[in-house]
Amino acid sequence: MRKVRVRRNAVAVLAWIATILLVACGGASSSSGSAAANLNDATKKLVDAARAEGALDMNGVFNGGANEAQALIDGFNQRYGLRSSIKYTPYASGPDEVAKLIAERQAGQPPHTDMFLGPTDFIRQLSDAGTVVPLQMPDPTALDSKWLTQSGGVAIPFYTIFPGIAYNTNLVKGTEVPSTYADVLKLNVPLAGTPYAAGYLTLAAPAVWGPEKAIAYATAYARKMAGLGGCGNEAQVASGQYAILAPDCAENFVQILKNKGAPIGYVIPMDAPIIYWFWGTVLRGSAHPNTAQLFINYLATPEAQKIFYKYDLTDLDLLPGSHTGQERKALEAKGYKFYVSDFDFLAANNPQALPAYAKIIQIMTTKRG
Amino acid sequence: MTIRGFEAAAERRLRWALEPRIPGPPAGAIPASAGAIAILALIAIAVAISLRTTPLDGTLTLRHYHDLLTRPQALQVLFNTIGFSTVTVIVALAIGIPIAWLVAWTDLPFKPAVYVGMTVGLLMPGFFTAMGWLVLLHPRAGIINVWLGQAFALKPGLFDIISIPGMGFVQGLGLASVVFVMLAIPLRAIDPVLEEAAHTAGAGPWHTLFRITLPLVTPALAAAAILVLVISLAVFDVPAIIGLAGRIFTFSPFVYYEVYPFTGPPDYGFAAAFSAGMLALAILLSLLYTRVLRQARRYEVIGPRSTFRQPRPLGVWRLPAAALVAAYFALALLLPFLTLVWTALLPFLQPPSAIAFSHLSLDNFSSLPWALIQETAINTAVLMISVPTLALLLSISFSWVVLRSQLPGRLAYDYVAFLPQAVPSIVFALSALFFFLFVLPPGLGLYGTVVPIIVVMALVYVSFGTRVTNGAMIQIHRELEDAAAVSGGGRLVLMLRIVLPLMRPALAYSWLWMALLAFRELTVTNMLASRSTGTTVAVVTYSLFAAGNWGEAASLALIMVAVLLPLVAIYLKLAGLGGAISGAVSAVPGR
Repeated sequence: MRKVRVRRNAVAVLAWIATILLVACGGASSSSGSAAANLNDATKKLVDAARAEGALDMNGVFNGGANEAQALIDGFNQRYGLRSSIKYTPYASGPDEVAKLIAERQAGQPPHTDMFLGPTDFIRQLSDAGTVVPLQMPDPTALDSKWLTQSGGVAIPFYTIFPGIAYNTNLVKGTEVPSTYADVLKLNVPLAGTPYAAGYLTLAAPAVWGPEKAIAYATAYARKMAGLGGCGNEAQVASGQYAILAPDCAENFVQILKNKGAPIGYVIPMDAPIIYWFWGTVLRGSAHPNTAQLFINYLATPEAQKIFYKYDLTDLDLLPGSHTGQERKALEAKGYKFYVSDFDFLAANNPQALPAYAKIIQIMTTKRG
Repeated sequence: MTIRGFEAAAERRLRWALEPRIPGPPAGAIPASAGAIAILALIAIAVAISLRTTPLDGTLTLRHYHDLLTRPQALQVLFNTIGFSTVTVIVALAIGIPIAWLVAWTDLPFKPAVYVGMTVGLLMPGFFTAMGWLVLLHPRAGIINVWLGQAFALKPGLFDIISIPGMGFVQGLGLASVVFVMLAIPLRAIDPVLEEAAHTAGAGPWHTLFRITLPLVTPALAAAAILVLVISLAVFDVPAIIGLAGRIFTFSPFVYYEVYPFTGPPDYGFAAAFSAGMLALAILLSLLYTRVLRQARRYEVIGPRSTFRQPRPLGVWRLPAAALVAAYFALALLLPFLTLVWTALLPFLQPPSAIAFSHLSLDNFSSLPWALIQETAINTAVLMISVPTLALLLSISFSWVVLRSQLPGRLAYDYVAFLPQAVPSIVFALSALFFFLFVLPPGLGLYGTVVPIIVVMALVYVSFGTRVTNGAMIQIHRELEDAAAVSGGGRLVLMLRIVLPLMRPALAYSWLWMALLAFRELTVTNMLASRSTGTTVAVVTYSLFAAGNWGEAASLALIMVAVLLPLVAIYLKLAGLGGAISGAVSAVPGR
């Protein structure tokens, strides 16, 4: 009797696991487009190579997640007449992802994804570690190829973010709403910081605050800090876990939450207005390098920019007619003078900013008292 | 067959029968030897990394240990870990002991439900409970804190889950199940005659409690406390989910962030040095644990049990006692569950209100990365099948060597098999990451797949796999094997036709138990996961949470629980309540 029971239950367990497998094997939908644009020879060559690969692995932290990734690959397929599938994996944080990719390169292992999408300094770290390959931009877009050149020929920008101050509108009201980073320190409210000290590498640049001022600010900020939350954790500000997150990485994440009815606001501070671009780069030894190259090229097209704006409420300010370009112009008209953290900026400032940045991370992640 | 053939066969059988122990087939010792080498190698790798300037080609150095002693953050992490573990032990004992006593000795109602609840509690992922309690008791935005603040005009942060006591409370709630399963059986086994004798001799209830009952359960109590301490020293989920927000790092998350730092290259040497220090502490505690278990013999009562314990009537306290137990389950399981349901349905976290209800939707479920979940579900299923299978194969081999072979040094195998119980699993994961990433040729293509995870988890589970297989094999009388041998059965036939069938019930429910543990595991998987081909559903859940997508993380955690519960039901049906609880005793969750 017991024997029969054991067998029956074993069958039930296997059936259950098989069900999971069947559900799992349901298969991701792949889409394809029909209309390929009029393409030049170099693009056609890349398209043919991408067709042979048929897939793309992408790790990222898109607000729209897998749906956004699918929309992008659908648009990509339609533009180039491909049927490529995409595998989107959200990663916990950019620094974590960069560390993994560099370790894989050092070990001679193939990278765990085809490309990296992230801000300038992450691309610089990957480039310095020999993790990325030269990039082509055969399919012309409105983006000036000088940006590819500036990156050392390894990356192109595809969207813009404005670091600043995210605040809970129920906890910080009226005259309390800060207009500068310095104002934040005057408030007696629970502050949040990011474990990787987002924004401080730029603040510590001699062209902006310089190392001493940035360290002093971080020290004062950390004394009032109630906790840590990474960029993308703006919902913790909306929920009242923190009153302020500064520097926060991106205005658009806050705007998305605001549109959902969350009590959250955002300020681009007057004392250090910064622009970050997200760049795309192809990883050395990746499984689908041609698809990745073409896809990164595609990210600067009007179709991709529309998708970014739909899901992320951002696009690339460098492109004509972009929403962020208009926003930038409007802010500049108000007297904002943006520091753009591009590769030239990093080359000029990182030698002094990097040591300070490492110290600031220690300050932000160590609890005192 | 010729006369000579008969003679040779008879001689072989005679030699076999006369041997004091049945020698294990050499092939049977190969898996155990391979497992033992792998366990020791992973420990040695961690120590070796800690002693080199750079992991692969550096020179010998003590610099990482110097850093360990001089870096203030490392000392802070050590204090945090000790504080967290202490609170965890106190909470787990404070909850586990009374419930075990109520179940073992009294007429508490719904006892089977308590066993079921405790088994579910053992298997519930730590990150599930941690996420739930973070939402409930966040000092400023926690639902309970907000309600209390509004209802009684209290200052925010009456309860602060983002603290050492808060984290210890959440971990203790989970590990109370471990205390329960380790005490329920010893408590039930105490002969009531002893207490009756004390009563007859004029001893009062308190005197009897302190002089008779407590000494009898002291070994089990001490063993439970030490085991909870060892687990909490190494645990990852709860401190990672709750602690990071408050900059409170304990051992395992700290090691993780040294390997995947916030900036700059990984610091394997420092992570390994810290691991080696914790390794020494954990091994010391495990030696203490083993010693306590051995000393339990001093408390054995000679002779068969004379009477069965009649459940002590609780009288008017019966319902309050049941309410107390129900309150525990509400805190440990129901409240976190309901909170996750709430979180999963909202676009951003907010306390229940008319506005919040108007925001409820299934958007978080629809926006989950389903393609990735499909792929990682396959990986998870592969783990659930392969990890327990490999762990049990290794465990059977270990038990065979220890109990049935004449292999020199066979007792050392038993000790090595028990090592993963002591060694924090993140240390194994760190060494395995290093080995698969840097040492094995990339051409093998094993890095980034589930293979490293399978290997490490199977080795980790050998510690309790062997407790099950030792127990089962020791009950199989050698005469059965002798009879098989005399009848001409080869060693393989002996194993396949006699030993394994007799062990099958124990193997079946321990296999399922390990499969369930593999389903919820996060420490090893999170450290070793890189590309999606080597990622599990638990890691995706944690990544979503860490990236700030609490709603999506809660949705996926609920889906995981929906998959887990039917499997738990099958396990309970398979093992029966008694079997489930004794299985749990030898197989408390890995770290």
